Amino acid sequence: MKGQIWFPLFGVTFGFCAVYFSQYTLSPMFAPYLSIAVLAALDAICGGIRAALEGKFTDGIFITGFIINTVLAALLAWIGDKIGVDIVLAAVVMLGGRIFLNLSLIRRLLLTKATS
Amino acid sequence: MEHARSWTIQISVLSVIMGGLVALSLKTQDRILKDQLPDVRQGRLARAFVELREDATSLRRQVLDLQKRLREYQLQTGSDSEKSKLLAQDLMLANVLAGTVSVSGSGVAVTLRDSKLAERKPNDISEADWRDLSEEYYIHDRDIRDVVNELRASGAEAISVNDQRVTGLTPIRCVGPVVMVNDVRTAGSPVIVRAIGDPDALLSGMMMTKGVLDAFRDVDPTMVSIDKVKSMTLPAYAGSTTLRYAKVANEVKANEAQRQS
Repeated sequence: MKGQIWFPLFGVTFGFCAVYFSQYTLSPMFAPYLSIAVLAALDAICGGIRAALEGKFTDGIFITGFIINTVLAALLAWIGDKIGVDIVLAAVVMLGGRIFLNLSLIRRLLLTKATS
Repeated sequence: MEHARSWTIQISVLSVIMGGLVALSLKTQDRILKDQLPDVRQGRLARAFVELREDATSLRRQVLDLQKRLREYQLQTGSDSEKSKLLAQDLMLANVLAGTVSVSGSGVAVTLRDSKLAERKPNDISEADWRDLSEEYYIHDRDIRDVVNELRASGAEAISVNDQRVTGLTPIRCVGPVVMVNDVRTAGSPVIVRAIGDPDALLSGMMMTKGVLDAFRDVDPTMVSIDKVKSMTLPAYAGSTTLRYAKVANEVKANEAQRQS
């Protein structure tokens, strides 16, 4: 359990380096969608870790949660672009709030586990 | 244990994806900063541009105002005595020659415009080739300078290009589709060059065979039109008249320079 917690961190570093040092870039048009995708991924990861710590982790929910959240957020960003309202802010606030909530729960779970 | 491994793998895979997304996002933002001005700044730039333009307009008006006041002072001193009247007359002549006063008289107006043929690209010529071939259908800054030069040679006493007075130090150049005269942006087509002088002499200078306008007549005669004008008024030069480097030479040096020429 203790060793496993490091795998995601290695994963992030590996993914970051792999893309950062490649030649691949995206058109600036997609920049807002990309940041939303990053947020959705971070939310899914936090949610997944929390669920795992609570012993409630389910394969399907984790992956679909990530995909659906990303698609929905991108859709909101796109619609917001079209009608001139920053609906994407709703997704940012929602995802951001959930990330903080999940992080605090993870912290509490880890601390109670460590002390007990 | 089986269950625990499953979530680690899934979360790790997603972490790799997220790392990639973060890197991609960073690179894209970098590119946005490097490639183009973000939308936010364009508004600020536009506002700054408008402000500067207003400043420039008001300053130009101020220059004209001050020049007018200076002329009034000169006229006033002229009315005092016989000697200062002569001085004022000389001063006025110098002002006319320098282009710092508005002048009127007879002369010609030469209108140069881009040829309409430039828009009619034949289908069998590529875009790049046509750009080279259609060069001669456009008015260039050198054409305007040639016309100004020819008018001077024909005895013009005052010249303006697009209502900007041409002085001894006036630059005329093209920046894209606009013509900069005295560093003021003016229309690129048509360009109207007015000259005060003997209309017939000026006209014959312009019409000279093998002269400056001959090339245009071969390409497209509608690019040039010359009209004699009985009476017109050319504006005064409205730019700065301060000197920073040139000083009046002392007599010995002036005489030396004179002898060498």
